[in-house]
Amino acid sequence: MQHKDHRYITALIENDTVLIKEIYDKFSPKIKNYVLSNSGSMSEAKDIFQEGLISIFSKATNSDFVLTCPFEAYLFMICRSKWLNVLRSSKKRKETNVDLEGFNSVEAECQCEEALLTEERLSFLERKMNALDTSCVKLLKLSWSGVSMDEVANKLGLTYAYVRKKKSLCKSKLIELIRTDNDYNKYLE
Amino acid sequence: MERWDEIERYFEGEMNEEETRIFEYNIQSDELLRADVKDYEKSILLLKKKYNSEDRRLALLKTLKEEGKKHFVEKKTKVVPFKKALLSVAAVAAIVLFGTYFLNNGSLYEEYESHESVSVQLKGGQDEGLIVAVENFNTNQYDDAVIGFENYLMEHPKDLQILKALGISYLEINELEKAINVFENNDFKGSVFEHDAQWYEALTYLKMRDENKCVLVLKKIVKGTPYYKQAQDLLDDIQ
Repeated sequence: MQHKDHRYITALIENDTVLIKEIYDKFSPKIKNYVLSNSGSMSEAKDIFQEGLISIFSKATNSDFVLTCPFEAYLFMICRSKWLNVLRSSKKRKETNVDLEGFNSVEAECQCEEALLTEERLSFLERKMNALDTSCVKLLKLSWSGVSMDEVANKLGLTYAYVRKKKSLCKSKLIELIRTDNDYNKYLE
Repeated sequence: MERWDEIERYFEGEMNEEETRIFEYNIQSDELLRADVKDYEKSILLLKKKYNSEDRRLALLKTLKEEGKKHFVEKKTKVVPFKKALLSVAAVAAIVLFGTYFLNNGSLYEEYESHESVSVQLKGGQDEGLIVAVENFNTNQYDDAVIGFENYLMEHPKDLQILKALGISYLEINELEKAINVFENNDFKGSVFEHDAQWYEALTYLKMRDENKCVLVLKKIVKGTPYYKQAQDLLDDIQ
């Protein structure tokens, strides 16, 4: 069932500055405190908070996402996972201080994992996109940006028929690259 | 190839009712088609949605950066005055002592990030979009610079000066995966921008807080190149 905090998800999708300010007012102190008390700097806390919100935006715009737990718990879980990744890559720093009271719900954890998985999958797919030749990358990005195939053809100075055929070839090549990657099972299964 | 076009038509809702019914029947009975549809949904469809929401994502990022500046204020220096009254014979004398301590919350990245020296100079006769993008870059308006650089590079993918500027812009707006993709571009190898690309790749990993990868890149920066000294300093700081 959709949680009443789903309005914050809508706010991120619609770039609602009033509600986004509310998100910062209400939820940033806890995350700031968590990062600062676990070997992080203010600047890192700011980045982690921002990255957490962008992860939620990506998840929400790429699927029929419905928030089923409190937004604060969801956001905290995502930011904490991101910060733990940072700490894992550092020999000197580790998590020493965490208060999960009120945040350790199974629901929030599941939704958090889904968001992070979507983000990792997208990052993998983008790496594969960038392995295509430049003309394919250009054509696919343009055609997926909401521009009609007629406009794509015009912008690239090519015929409509050629652009359609080329797009088909590029997609085919991209899927081949994805399927032959060793990480295919990790991100797409 | 036609199979992917068919799948696209299905997801785009371009099939009529009869075609949709047959296609869905085939998905049930044809294991290979089922696997293709699943992969299409998890890859192409996901990428398509991502690029379709790219403008909105950049607009959101701008809002978040503005709010972030207000809510995450670095307390670089904090002055703590304290008064301590001492015993006095005349009951008048008091000594006020001031102590100062400095809170240092700066990260290593902030220490090394400075790129005052980076500005892009254009020759005459360049297209207007690029001129605006360069102006944005030179005045630290990286979100706007990115859009102009991306458009320009679609037509001129070998312009390494602009590619480097795009990478730095990505780094500034926290599009760190994209920045890595740029700095790892093979075209930098052997070019005059090779050392810049290495240094900024290292900085990007530093900002990602991936110290292991940062160290690996820093170790590639060889003696006698412009970034050698700062690469060694950074290596010392990390290790």
